[in-house]
Parts: sequence; structure tokens; C-alpha cells
Amino acid sequence: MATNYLHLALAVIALSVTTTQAQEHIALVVGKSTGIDNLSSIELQKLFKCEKSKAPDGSKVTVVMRDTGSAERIAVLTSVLKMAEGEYSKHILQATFTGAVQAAPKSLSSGGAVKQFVSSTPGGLGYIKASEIDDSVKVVKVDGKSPTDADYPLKSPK
Amino acid sequence: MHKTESNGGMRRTPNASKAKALGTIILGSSLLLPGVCSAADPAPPAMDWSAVQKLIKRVDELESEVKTLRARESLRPTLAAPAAEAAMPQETFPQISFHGFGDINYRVSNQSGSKNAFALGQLDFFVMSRLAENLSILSENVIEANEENNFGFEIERLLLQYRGTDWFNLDVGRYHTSVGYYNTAYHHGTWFQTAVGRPQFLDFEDGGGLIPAHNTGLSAHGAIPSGSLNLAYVLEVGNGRPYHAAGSGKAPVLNISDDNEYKCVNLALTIKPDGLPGWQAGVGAYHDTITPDNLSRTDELLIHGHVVFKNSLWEFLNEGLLMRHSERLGPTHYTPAAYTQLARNFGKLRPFVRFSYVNGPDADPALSLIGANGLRWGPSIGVRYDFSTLACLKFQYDRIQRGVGEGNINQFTTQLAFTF
Repeated sequence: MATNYLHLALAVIALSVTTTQAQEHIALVVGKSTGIDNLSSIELQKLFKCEKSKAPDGSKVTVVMRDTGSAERIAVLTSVLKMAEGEYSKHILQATFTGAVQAAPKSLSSGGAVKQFVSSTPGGLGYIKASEIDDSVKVVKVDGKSPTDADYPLKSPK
Repeated sequence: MHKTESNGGMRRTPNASKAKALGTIILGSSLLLPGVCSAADPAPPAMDWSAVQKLIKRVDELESEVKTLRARESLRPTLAAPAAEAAMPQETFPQISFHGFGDINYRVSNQSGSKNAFALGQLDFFVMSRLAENLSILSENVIEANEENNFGFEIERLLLQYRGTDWFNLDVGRYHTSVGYYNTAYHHGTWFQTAVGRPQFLDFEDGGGLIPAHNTGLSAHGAIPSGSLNLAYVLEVGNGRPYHAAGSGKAPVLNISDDNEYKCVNLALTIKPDGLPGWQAGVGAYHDTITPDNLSRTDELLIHGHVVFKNSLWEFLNEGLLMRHSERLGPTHYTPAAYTQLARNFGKLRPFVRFSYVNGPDADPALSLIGANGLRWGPSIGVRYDFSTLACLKFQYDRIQRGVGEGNINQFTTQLAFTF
């Protein structure tokens, strides 16, 4: 009986080890030659809602989204835009309808495609999982915080 | 730099893999062993508590190590994107996007001569075509039945748009004037609107509306450098609105010619402070010199303003205008108009209430020509149900109080609105 309890305890511990999923940080990335180092949450909101097309330094920004339903997209919608998917889609459609936006932001299906887009598009701005950061892109701070900071605002949903 | 290995698209360090594997082994063995022990070893051996303590300590250490490795791994650069993902297609033009909107209504009203009826609303074809990086065509075309049940086609908006900078953009063609908020935020697709229709005084020209909703000309707009205040401007120059006698057969919008040499000018300013998210306010002035049929030349001035709050839950729209018609050889007439609208989301339901008011003096001969004079005020109450992300059902009751001797109107409308 005691052995069974021991195994049960070990199983619980092991399960906690294997299933503990910390919220992964989402990194904002641009091409390496882009001059953007930091963006505020409000600036990000405006860029992703297509209300602005310029970074604070005056350079043109072309945002790229991840596909609908991806964890990264949900993270940006909830953390930055404070919107549900339906609201965001309607917002972009209405902005297109009013003529404020010429085209909805492009959506890409993988972090690799986002990296390729931002590294090959002048002013390209996208987001990937922090674990997907590589030498091809530059990480942009959000509100002065980088993905290594504990209070970094861009996190994947729990 | 750690050597990396691929695992179904995931990259992890050997240590992390080992730790995860160990956890899995412990989990698997602990799930399997109880059954084995109980079957093969009915009398369990004496407990070696020191060994248990060591095991638990070791598991704690491993758990801590896994957490550390995971934290490191999440911040460690991985290999560059695979070459297979490298091919990003170049943008090609034109890039055409199409959206359609429509609505079907059922209306019951006690208005004299009105019969309860199902009614097709507008079938709205919206096309946006990007011609180049900064150049696009916006086209909104509506098929709609008239009072004789015959379908007609109308180009509601046709614009060549130049998107230069955040501070200067130019539209050329037929546009919705930036008079107030509603006329710029909502166009012909009723699906976007919370309520069944527009506040009456903001209705389109052929619906007895007060304002020049459409115009043909130029519209420049953009941001005004103002930091967190987010000031923006719109400057429009166009043909203006014609005032033709009823039954003249002339169109209510000057599409290809003007009825005089004067051009209308509209200047609107808006503010959307970062410190007040969701709020927007605006003021503006529209001026034209109109030459109504059989009337003297008249100066037309509209002063308009709005305060709006919108977020995921709430919609609070407030708008007002004052129209002045100053006849060169006659008196001056003032028409005040306003509405307030409040709505709140409860999941897929959005109840709303609106109160609107307009009082066009009967003595204003220009308003008489377009049927926009008279007192109209009262509440509308209703609910919108978004049963699909692209379609909704609205129920609305309107009570319209009218001037002395005109009688009041009670009407109920159900609307099925959709986009495709």
C-alpha cells in the first residue's frame, strides 16, 4: 500500500513537471535594418488596428498578422488590442469600408514566414514566439520591456 | 551556443529533452508500477524512507532544472528560418477585394397610407482595388427598389484614393461628406450599424435627410501632428447639394454637373486622445451657396459636432448640427438637429436606445423643396442579435412625434442584415 502511495506521489510530481506550461512570451520583430527599437502599447494598437502606418520615427510600417486561431494572434488581440477575433475582423472590414484602410493586414501561417516577411519587407512588423527568435530578425521592445522581462506585456494566453 | 536538434518542428536542447524524457519515464513507470506491484507483490516491502526522501529531492531538483532550461530555451535564438519559407511573393497589382452587404426588412407602421410589408433593403457591392502601393479605387454600388417596386442601380461612392502619409491623403470622386460622425462611420451596409437605420435627419438625400450625405469632388484628410491628442482633419471641396422641386426628376446628388458656379467646402476636425481610449470628438463647418429652384440665392451653413465613445462593450453616440439658410433676398432660417444613441453588448445581444430630434422650420423654402422641414422627435428602442459573425437580426420600435396637425407615427421594424 505504501508503495502505491509513493508511486502516486511520484506520478503527481512527474505530471506537474511534464505539464507545467508557463505562458510563453510573444516577441515583436522587425527586419534587422529597421530603426524601430521600442513601441508603446498604444502605438502598437494603432499600428495593428491600421489607424497609423508610421512608426514614431516616421518610417513606414507594414504589419503582418498570424493566421486566425493561432496562439500568437490571440495573444496580440487580447494583450495589445483588447479585442476578440470577431471584433478585430469587423474593425478591419469597417475600416476598409470607410476607406481608411486600403487592405487588411496580411496573415501568415508560421513564425518562419513572419520572420521571412519582416526581414524582406522594409518596415515589416510582426510577432513570433520568443522561442522562434533568430538572427534574421530584430526584437522590438514593448513599453521599454523585452521578452526576457517578467512584466513583459505580450504573452500567450494561459 | 548549444547544439540544437529538431523534433517535429520544435527545437530543444539535449538537457531539456533528457529532463522531459525523465519526467515521462517517471510518469509512465509510476502509472504502470502500481498495477505490477499489486499483482506480483501482494505484501509490499518495508519502506525505505531515506530513499524516498532522496527521490523526492531529486525530482524537485529535476523540476527546477526543467523550469530553468525552459526559461533559457524560450529566450535562446534558434536557427534561421528554413529556406523553404524564404520565398515571399512580390506584391502584384491590382489587388481586388470584394464585400457585399444586404438587408431584408419587415415593417409595420400606423403612418397614413403605409401598409405592413416585407421589404428588400439595399444590395450593396463594395469593391476595393489597390492599384499601387499608395493608390486604390473604392467603389460602392447599390441596387435598391424604389416606391414603385422597380429596381434601380446607383453608384454611391466612387473614389480614387491616394494614401501619401499619415498627414496627407487625397480622395477624388463621389464620397460621403464628413458632416458629423454617422455619415463617415456608416455608409450603405446596414450590417455595420447597431440600429435598423440612420437617424432621420442623417438619412440619405433620397430618403428625406437634412444633410448633404454625398458629394462629388475632392477630400483631403490626415492626422495633425499633435502627440497623444491624435488630432485629424478633413477638408472637402465639391459640387454641393442641389435643391430641386419635388417631381422635377432631377437627381439629388450633383454627379456630373453643378447647378451653379459655387462649390461647397467642408472642414472637420476630430480628436481621439490616447488618455481617453474609445472617445472621439469632432467639430466642423460646411458651407455652400445654393440656388434652389425658383428661389433666390441662399447661403447654406452647417455647424456640426459629435462626441462618441465606443469599445468592446459600449457604444455611445452623440451628434448635433445647426443648419442655417440665409436667403440673399429674404430671411434666415435655422434648423437644429441632434441624436443620442446608447448600446451595450451582452454576448450576441446588443440592446440599444436612441433619441433623435430635428426641427426644420416650415418657412424655410429650401427645406420644403427636399421635404426635410417639420418637427420630428422621439425615441427608438431595439435589440440587435448577432446570430452569426456575418449576419444579424434587429428589432426596433420607433415613435416619431411630429408637428401640430401631422399626427405621430409608431412603427416596428425587423431587419435581417448580413455581409458576404
